[in-house]
Amino acid sequence: MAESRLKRPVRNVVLTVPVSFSRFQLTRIQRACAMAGLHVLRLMPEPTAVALLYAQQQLKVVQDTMGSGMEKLALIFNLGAGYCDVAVTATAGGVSEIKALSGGPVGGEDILLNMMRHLLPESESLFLNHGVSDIALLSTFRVATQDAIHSLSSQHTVDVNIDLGNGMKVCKVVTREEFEEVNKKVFEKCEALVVQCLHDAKVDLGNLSDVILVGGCSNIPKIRDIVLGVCKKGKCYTGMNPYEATVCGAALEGAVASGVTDPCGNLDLLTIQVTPLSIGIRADGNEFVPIIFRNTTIPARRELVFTTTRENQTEALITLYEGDEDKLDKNHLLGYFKVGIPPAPKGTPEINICLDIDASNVLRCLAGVVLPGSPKPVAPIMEIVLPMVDDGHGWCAEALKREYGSTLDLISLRRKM
Amino acid sequence: MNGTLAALSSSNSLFLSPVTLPVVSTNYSTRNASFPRGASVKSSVQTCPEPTARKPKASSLYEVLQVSRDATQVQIKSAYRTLAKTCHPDASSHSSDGQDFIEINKAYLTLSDPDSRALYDMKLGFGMDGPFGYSGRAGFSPAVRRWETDQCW
Repeated sequence: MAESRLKRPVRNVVLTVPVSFSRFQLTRIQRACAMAGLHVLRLMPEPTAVALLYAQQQLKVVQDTMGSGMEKLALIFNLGAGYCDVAVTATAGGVSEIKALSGGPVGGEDILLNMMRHLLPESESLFLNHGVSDIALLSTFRVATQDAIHSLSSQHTVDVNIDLGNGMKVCKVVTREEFEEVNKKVFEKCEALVVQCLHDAKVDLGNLSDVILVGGCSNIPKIRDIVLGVCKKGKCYTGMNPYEATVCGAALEGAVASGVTDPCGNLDLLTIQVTPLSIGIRADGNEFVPIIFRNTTIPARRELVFTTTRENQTEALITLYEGDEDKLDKNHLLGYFKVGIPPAPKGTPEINICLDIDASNVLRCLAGVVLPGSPKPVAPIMEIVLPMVDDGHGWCAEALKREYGSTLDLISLRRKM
Repeated sequence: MNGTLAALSSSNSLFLSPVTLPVVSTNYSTRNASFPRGASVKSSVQTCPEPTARKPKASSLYEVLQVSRDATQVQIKSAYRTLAKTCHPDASSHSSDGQDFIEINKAYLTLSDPDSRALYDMKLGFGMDGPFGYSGRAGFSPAVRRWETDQCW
């Protein structure tokens, strides 16, 4: 569709993705693009695209911020159809430094479904047999509900009057309060994401210059109230179109990434990205030990030292996970592999696990075993690109755990201060 | 303290040191093919050894950021941004492996937080007052620096 609009083939693309996408989802998007013959220049979280646009706008406003080093902090809140994303960015001189990201699978679709359920509680059972007429009715109902929600953004009550045919009618006056009550859970989730993002960014609310609301649902008054309330701001940033901001930002990134230069310096931009999810391994019993924490600047490289739990343990199983849940099983299994260890008393071999995320967001795991007193690793270092398995392979880890029990376990070696 | 640091440096610098180590790459061909951005990422520290081409190690975080010891927070921030524009793998036209930027970012993280900066300044001062003076400390400091910056992550 884009190709027919532009009247020329598209080869390189910049895609924006929700913050809460796991590495599997990113990999799948890349695969899909490869199948379609598209070269992915960048996969960027949606709010960071907005951050880039904001950086450019600020660059235009104050041309000399770079010299003074004055930076502007902004909170970006994006509520689309399926996902809610929040980012805190520090901007100066065209460089937008992402301080923190948070996101969750909650969005306009949930609001719409809640509302449909509210208007017609039996709607789900009514349309169960999926006939053509049912689907048509359902979409009529859907569109009508959507219109009602839109009207509630500007007025306090709305008259819902839908004729569903065959004697079914929905006539109801819905107030804004009702709407907010029905979607309480959605709004609470959004609020939690904003609070978490501000907390992770370690930002003093007083230093926050702008609050940017984008996305299809950013017009809902309650959403505005919540975000502005949490940020203790009177009004939000009005410099960009909430529906186009993400796309504009992505277009800018595309221009930067393909090396287009502008003599006026308007494209002298850079986004410093962070990882949205922690990545770590299973160790210390059945615990998730993060190696790279969420909101770490990319490219990143960090290592932790682990050691064996058994006398003369000759192998260790390394299982890698991505996520931020305390419970190991709730996180995504990225892969697993074994390293060989020379026989030694327990606790003496040092197993170095290094995670490396390079500039193009490829995650690698390097593992090396060192015996104390020797500077060289005992075996060549293993290097593995992740994810190794596909999504939903958590059962693999379970099976391995059943087979080996705790015989291949690791514990983290606390650094002596 | 000396002893502890030496022991730590032996274990910590396995991957972070500029010394090239042999690497078994399990799926080399797929690795190169799967890079969305081709050339700029081909040189990871292990696979493309050019220890001589690497810049000499700066002896303090202040030198990494190219600021003076008494730089203000604002100066540090703007120095970080300027360096990011030249060293960030997304920004630089020549192929860069991102290792420079990681160093810069670590330095920035330490120095931009007043607490960790104070701690770092103390360590740095401790080395300066020692019998070796400035030149004697040079070989020793990378180990200190790594250990230090790891703590703030």
